[in-house]
Amino acid sequence: MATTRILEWVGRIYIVLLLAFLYLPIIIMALMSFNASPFYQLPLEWTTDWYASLWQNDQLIAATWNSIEIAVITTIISTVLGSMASLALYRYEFRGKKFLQALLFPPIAIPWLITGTAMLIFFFGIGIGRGLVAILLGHVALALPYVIVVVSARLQTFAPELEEAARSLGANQWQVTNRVTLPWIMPGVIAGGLFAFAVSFDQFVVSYFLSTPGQTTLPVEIYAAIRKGFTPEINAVSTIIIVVSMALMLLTARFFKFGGEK
Amino acid sequence: MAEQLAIGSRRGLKPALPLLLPAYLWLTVAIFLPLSAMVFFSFMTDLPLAGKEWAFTLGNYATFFSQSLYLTLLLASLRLGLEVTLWCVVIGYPAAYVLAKVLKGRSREAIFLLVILPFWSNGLVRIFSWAMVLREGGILDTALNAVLPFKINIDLMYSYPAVIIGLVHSYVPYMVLTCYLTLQAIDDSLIEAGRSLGASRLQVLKRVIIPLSMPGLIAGAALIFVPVVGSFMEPRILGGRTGTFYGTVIEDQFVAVFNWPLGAALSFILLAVVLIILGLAAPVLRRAA
Amino acid sequence: MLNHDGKVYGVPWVWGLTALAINEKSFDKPPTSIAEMWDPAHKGRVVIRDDAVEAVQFGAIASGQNINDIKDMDAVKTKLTSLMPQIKTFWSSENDWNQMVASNQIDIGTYWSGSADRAKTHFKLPVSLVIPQEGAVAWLDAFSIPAGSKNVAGAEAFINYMIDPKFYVEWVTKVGAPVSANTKAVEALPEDAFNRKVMGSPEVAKRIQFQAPVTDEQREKYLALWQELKVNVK
Repeated sequence: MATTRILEWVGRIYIVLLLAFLYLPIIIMALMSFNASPFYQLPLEWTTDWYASLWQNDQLIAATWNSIEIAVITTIISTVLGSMASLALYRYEFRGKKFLQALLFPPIAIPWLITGTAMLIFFFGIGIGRGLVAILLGHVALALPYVIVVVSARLQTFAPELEEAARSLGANQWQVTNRVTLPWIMPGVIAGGLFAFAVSFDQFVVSYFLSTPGQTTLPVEIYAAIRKGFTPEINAVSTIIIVVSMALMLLTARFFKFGGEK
Repeated sequence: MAEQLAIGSRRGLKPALPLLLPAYLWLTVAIFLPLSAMVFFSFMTDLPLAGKEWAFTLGNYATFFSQSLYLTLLLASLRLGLEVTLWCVVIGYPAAYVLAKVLKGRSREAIFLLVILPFWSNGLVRIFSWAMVLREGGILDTALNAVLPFKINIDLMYSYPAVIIGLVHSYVPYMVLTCYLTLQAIDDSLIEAGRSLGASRLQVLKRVIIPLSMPGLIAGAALIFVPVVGSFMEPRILGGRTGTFYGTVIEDQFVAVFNWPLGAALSFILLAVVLIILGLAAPVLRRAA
Repeated sequence: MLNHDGKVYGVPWVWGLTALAINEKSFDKPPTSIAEMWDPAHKGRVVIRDDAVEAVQFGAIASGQNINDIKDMDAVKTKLTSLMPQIKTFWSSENDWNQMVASNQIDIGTYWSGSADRAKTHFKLPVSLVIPQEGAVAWLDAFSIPAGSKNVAGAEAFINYMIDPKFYVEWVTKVGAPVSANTKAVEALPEDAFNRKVMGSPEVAKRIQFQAPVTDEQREKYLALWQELKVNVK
């Protein structure tokens, strides 16, 4: 059908436009990392000095590694725990389920500033204090609601008859989950994991309250740099991260199917 | 739907517990208990730290109602949340549809990942980059004037539209992803069946596609609306003198005057309002489907 | 301020001003009065820091009052209300100011003396400090050691290092710093250094008003006023 073909092309062009909107600031960010002016002055004067000085900036590099480490661990823990909880909320009916679902919103709704100060006071009270462990504890908790909401949205499209059918064919609970339910919700689990990574990696406020001078994360360092006087080294490190993760993602996309092909 | 539930879901908390417990235990230790302490503080006259005198009071909550300032700001923030959410639906839903139903194979997976990648750059740096684009003599201004035959002056920086643009940019991937997850699950044969029975594209969209993807729309809307209402960083940097919202006055109480009890009370009022709105909106949206 | 009932509670460290700074590109000759901020010629090109205490004290100076004993709050409010339409944005860090001047988005605004000097000498931006005839807010940073502290000797050594002239000269030349409260440290600077020549001039000393401690109640009152002004700006 001709109309269908035309509509499909309109759709493709639309996606390109959306990507252009999403990447506009990222491209600017990358360009400014090659600009000599520390105040983003135009016209652009080409330099790679910021990359050279970034190389000397041990503090920024150490904070970047901390951020990556924490984000990876947060992603793993919150995706596993969150998917389990979503499954339970989907599969079982019990008293207080609505309440448990409503409980997912306070961590999202209350500004992180308040959650951060609350965590600081409480963690001090129970003896955890500040540092990377406290940051990890906080990040997982912040990421969990996102994972549960996203995975649950995917589960809503799951036909429960499939589980029932598998069970009646003699599959046990583990087999049902592993062979029937998990493959179906996999796109949701992966999307949840990507959310969790983003929540942790870009998390500033809570990390700010829970970090110590030696144990800090990249967004906290960036904030400190802005206070002291922003340098395009920040743009340089952000550009490297985006380029590396883009390469990693496209590479993974070649070998794994994220789309949940039917 | 009721029948499906009866088959699929089983009764009892006991079998659900092993799956639920780890997540909720973690949330309890790291979020619910600390926040409970904050709820406690919100009823105090002063912080019980460093040996200061304190007493129980409802005064912090009364402050909200005694000054029209806070209500005005809360309404402004709710409006901001609503507008940003609507823009995200308008922009994100069609994109999710194309992603789920038009694109196939590798290109779909690659674009799916590209949509979420901007999150991995720092939020503050992203906002600074927007400032470069939007300001007078900035990139948008220069580019449009280079293309258009007549002279126009674009200075969107430090205005309400700048706040909307920055927030929509930050949150639209949420909508694309949650909608994609439910749209992708709709069986193509359902759509074809509808079409072969003589329904127009619009009818199929209205009767089949939108209702079936409703869970994704609702999840996306909640994930966007809720944090936007409490946002303070984007309005502060992009909004300039029009950037005062409910989130920014809460921030002021915490960092400028150290009146934590009032700051906490203001944020719990926000939480209550947001939960009430979600509670009212969810069934209405579901019925509309 | 640091001496109370004959006891010493802290060591003064550095001081500076919250005065005005201008974008040199927008002025043929530097203004002398605070009223320049209200000049319609600068509409939409004025900035002020997003800080309630600073804003209110600035309003006090503009309405000819003592910043530590504001008698006529209404005058401050009227003054600031009429300033609001002039404003482009509220700045919060040195970096904001420098970026806006670098891209020529602003003409004039409140700024810190040390930052204005750093912007001019270190970053070569077209910024110069103006200490208006009406006066400016001066602040003083100090060191104190909390009671019950375990490493008092270490803290004292640190304080001595921080107020030492040698450290101070290095700080000024390499990074740019506020004015040291240690006269010996200031004397160690070159004769024409900003912190010695401009900030040390008796003419300046006459005009400025040092900030006294602000109580919690005052702070909250100032914030309420400031928030009200910001909300009604729309």
